[in-house]
Amino acid sequence: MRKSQADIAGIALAVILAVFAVLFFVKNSGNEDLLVFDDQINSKISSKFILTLLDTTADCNNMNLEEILLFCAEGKNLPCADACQNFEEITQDIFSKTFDRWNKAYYFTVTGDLEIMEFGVECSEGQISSSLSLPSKSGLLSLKLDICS
Amino acid sequence: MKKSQANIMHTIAILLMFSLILLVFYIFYYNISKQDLEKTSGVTFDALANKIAIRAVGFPPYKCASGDCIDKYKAISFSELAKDNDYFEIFGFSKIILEEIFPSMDKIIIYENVMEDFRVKKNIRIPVTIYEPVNKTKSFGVLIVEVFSK
Repeated sequence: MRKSQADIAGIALAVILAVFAVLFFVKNSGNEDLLVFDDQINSKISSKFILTLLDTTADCNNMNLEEILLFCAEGKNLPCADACQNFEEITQDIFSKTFDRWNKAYYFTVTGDLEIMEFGVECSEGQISSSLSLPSKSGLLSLKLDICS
Repeated sequence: MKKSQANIMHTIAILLMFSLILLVFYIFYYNISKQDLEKTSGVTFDALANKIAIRAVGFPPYKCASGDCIDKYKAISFSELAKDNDYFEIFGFSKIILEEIFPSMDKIIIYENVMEDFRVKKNIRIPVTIYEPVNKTKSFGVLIVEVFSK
């Protein structure tokens, strides 16, 4: 092969590699944007779910679930029911009519001095998490919701 | 073959090779541009769906006066109003349903303008508190926003 031919082949190879590098960069930068967008939505839904749950009025003395959970943490009973049992039943009912019905895996935990309450199954792969802390007389209660990817 | 002929053949061969390389690049670029365009339109549609959902959650005609919730009776009134008035500029081709989950199951169709021959549909479910001002109770609800596109 002549020198000029070798030069042309070299330039062609360089051009091919450069184009592939540019195409690879453009393709991957697009994927990143898409992923961030979905995570943002799930994160908002997760935190809004916990706030809406705590704001819900139960069928006992017009108390909301936040007040019932605080009664439960302090070991008090409601005038019409066992506080912990009442919180657990209503929460389970809401999860079965939402995430379970939508076939969306989740894991919700309430931790504190009281025994740990668990709803759903721990996510095996990735998840979007949201948590909230509630101060009570018996210590800090921590609520955490994972929406599995 | 003379030397000049050989040179011409050589030049033609090089031009052919470059043309072939350019063609291959063009095909690759065209395919990737097409995929990116589809992806971009998907992202734009997702963004539009998200925007409509955010508007629907905090829409003043049925938002509670007291805070971050939806007034049940205002939502019922608005659903009647939305049948006669044009809210297309705000909600576009979408269907907005307020579903009560707890204590009872109930459903209010707040807005409905379904695209007849849609190809893409996105569902966004947002948990919301539904305030019932007569009994002063708050229910657990979900605002289902379905957005349509071709």
